This record gives sequence, C-alpha cells and structure tokens, in this order.
Amino acid sequence: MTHKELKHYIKTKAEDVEIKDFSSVIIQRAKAQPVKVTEPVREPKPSFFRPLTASLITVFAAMIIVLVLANQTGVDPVPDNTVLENMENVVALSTVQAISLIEVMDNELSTSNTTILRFGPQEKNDMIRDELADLSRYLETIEKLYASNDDFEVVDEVKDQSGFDRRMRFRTRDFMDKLSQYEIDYNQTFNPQTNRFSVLGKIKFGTKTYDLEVLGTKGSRAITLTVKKDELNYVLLDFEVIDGKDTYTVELIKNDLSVEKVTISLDQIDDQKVATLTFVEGTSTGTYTFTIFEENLRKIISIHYTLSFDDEVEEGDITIRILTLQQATIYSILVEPEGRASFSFTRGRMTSHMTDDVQNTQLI
Amino acid sequence: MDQLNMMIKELKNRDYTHFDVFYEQTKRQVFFSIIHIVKDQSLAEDLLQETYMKFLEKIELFDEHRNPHAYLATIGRNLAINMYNTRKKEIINDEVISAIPAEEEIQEEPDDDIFKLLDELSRDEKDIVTMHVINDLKFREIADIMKKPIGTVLWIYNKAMKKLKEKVGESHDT
Repeated sequence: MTHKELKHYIKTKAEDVEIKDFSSVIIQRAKAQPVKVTEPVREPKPSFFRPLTASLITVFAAMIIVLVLANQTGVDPVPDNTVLENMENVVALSTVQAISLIEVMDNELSTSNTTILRFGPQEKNDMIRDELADLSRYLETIEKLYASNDDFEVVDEVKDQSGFDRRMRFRTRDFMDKLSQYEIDYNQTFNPQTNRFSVLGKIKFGTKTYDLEVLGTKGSRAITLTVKKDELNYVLLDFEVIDGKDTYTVELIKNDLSVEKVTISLDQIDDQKVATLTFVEGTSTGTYTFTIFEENLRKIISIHYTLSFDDEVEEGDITIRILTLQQATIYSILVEPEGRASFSFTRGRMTSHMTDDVQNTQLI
Repeated sequence: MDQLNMMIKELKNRDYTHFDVFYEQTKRQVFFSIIHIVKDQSLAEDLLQETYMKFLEKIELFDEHRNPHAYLATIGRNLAINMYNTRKKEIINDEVISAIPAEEEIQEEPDDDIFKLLDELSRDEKDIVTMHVINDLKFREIADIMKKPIGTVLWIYNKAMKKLKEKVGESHDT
C-alpha cells in the first residue's frame, strides 16, 4: 500500500463516521446567551507605602549581592585538569560539525555541478535535488562521525605559550580514510559555587583559525559551543542527551541572521549507529536517517528521507557512493522516491580541508 | 475558504443564517480532533457543541487570515485535553475499574474501525495523523498548533504512517 492509498483509506474510514447535526441546538444556545457588556476597570488607589516598600526591597537585594560578591576572590580558580574531562569526544564532534558548516559559508557547494542521468516527474525531482543541496553540507560530518568510529584520538595537555594554558588535539578520518587534524588552544575558568565552566580559545584547522567558546556545567552531559569566523558569521551548537540519545542542535548564523537550524541525534539500534538529521528552521524541512554499509570494502551512505512540499509528503531512500575521478572525489547519489521512478546525479565532495602532508600520502 | 470567511463575518454580526452550512463544512475536523483524545462518542458530541459555543463567544477575536479549520480544531483539541485530564484524575482517585470496557465489548468493534486503527498510535502520532490526513491541515499549521518544530512533526508523521501501513497491511492480509 502506497502512502497515498493509505491516506485515502484513513480519510474514507473517517468519512464513514456519522456526526450528528447540532447546528440548531448551537444557534439556540448562542442566541440565548446574553451580549457581554465590558465593565470599566477601576484603577486601584495609589498606596503611599508601595513605592517605599519597593525601594527597601531593592536596597536590601543590592546589599545581599554586594556581600556575596565581596566573599568571592574575584577570579575563578583555574583547575589543574581540563574542564572538558569526559566531554572530549563531544567537543571534537561539535567542532567538526561547526568547522564543516563555517567552511561552507566561504565555499558553498554549487548546484551547477549536478548532472541528471535519469529522472521521474521533473518538478518533484528538482525539489528533492534542492533539498539535497542543503543536506550535502552535513555529509562531511556524517562521514567523519562514522569513519572515526567515536575515536578522535584526543590529546589534551598543558601548554604555556601564546597566552593559552591548554591545547587539545584530535583527528578525524573520512570514508576515503583521509585524516584531518584539529588543534584547539584554550584557557578555562571554573566556578566551584555554580559548577559552571567556560572555555575560550582558538581552533586551528588547516591554514585557518576560528574563535571558540564552550560553556557548560561540570558533571552534566550538556554544553553550548560557539565557533566564530567573525562577529557576524558563526555556528552555535547545543549538545544534550535527550531520551538517551546524544543530540546536537546546530544553528548557522550568516551576516548576523540565523539561516538554518538542524538537530542531529545519534542512536544505537541493533549494534548499528543511526544518525538522524532534522531541518528545524530554514528553507529545508526534511528529516534524514543515516546508516552506513559496506560494498566491495567501500563505505556507502544509506539514507531514508521524509520531505514536506507544502502539504505533500515525499519520502524514499537515498544511496550515496563516493567516486574517485583522477584526484577529485564526487558523490554519486541515487534517489529512490516511494512510488516513483528512481533518478541519480552527482555532487562535488568537499576535500579542501585535508592537511597537505596527509593528502599527499593518502590520496588514491 | 472564502465562503467560510464570509460566513464568519456574518457570525461576527450575530447573524446565524448560514451557521448550518458552516457547521456542516467544519464539524468533521473538529469532531476528530476531539474523539481521538476522549474516546467516547457522547462526550465528544458534547465537546463538539462546546467548541462551537466557545468559538461563537469569542468570535470577535478570530483573525480572518487564520485557517478556520485549524482554529476550530485547536479549540476542540484543548477542550478535549482538559476533559481527558479531569477524567483521568477522577478515575485514578475513585479507582473506577468498571470504566474499563470488557474484553467482549472491544472485540465487537470491526477490525478496520478508524478509532481502533488510530489507537495503534501514540498521542502525538494520533494528533498529527488526524490533523493532516483527516483534517487536511498543512504541516506548518500542525507545527504551530502543537508547538513543535516542523521537522519533528514530519518525523512523527512518518513513523505513524509506517505503523499504520503495517497494521492495515496485516488486516487486509487476514
């Protein structure tokens, strides 16, 4: 049974239900109701004591705040260990996501490099391709998430140079087994009273450097991370565990305007990692569920998608393979919409951030 | 929608000439937004009347740019949720076990009954399927009503339709 047939089936069944005609009863009741007359609201008399009480409360509150602040040393103590303990992988994956998005701001993948090989109803297929253009921004993260298999080889150590106390290094792999190196130099503060910490630093990725801020509470698996290209262009990322799933809410800010918001949740079903990407705000509205399988020792991305075009729901499966053409790699995308003919096209794959030495040795 | 808005203009002037037409065109959406929550035909009928009474009482607040179907469905849904919560408390407090229907009663319902079919779904799934498939509301309108992101609404809808597909397939096979 197709989606359309099921909708028709439900609708027909609903129409079989007899609903009584209460219109005349409702009219009678409505006519019998008195027309409401709104009474003027009388202003309460001003009280002489009210402003005095308010002033006293304000003065006492101010005194309490001053006393509390006076008891503090002024600067939060800097802890010996990293405040990001047990959250290193979360910070690593958050950074990977943020960097891949911020890179797209500079170098947006063009839709002009797509080639239709075969298609069904053109209009719907074009819309799916537009949606997939937005999806492709997240494929780098998906590749690195699955290929690194939760092991980002994080090293966090004390550093006494360039005005930073600590350095965190980690690396990721992608489906072509290429390595990317990330370096975060940072200072940290921790408030033992509130258990809150903050991290301020710089991320070095290839030849580029970005500002980083991480806020969180020790002991809780939740952080807010901001990666800035500049004051107007940045990525805001919230990590928290919802219903037992690691959930990232990622917001892309371009020229000080929020242009896209997505959630990525990670789940483990039958020993298989399942990532779900949902477009929450922005021009796209799709939900994509990713799983990975192997074919001739090559990793293939398998996606189930649900898209909404006004009131129509479009769903189906996508298979993405990576093809190597000379020194470049491209995505070969096969779309199989439910109830319609499949079609395929290709898209450019971002490979520009690999470190030079790694690229030279690993390039196939 | 233009015809509905014309009738709403009349209703704002307490002119009920075409109320029966208005009721006929909107009752199904309202009824289904109520029945799947309260699961009781006569209670749903009472709330159906209450929904229209509430709508007429506050009709001057109705913004003509809004979808009247979505507006009425929201009133009905809220009334049903209030009623459901009140009844749930009463049942828990009084331990009225007799409120649970006997097994034979359940079996008497036809297998492909719409209410039984929707009962396969969770509360959110039922809400979304009812609003989209039966009430013809758009996903953006549903997201507004349910105060959920549109992506979440789509995800829940997709999950619900998969469940229903399996259920309907099963009942058609047997």
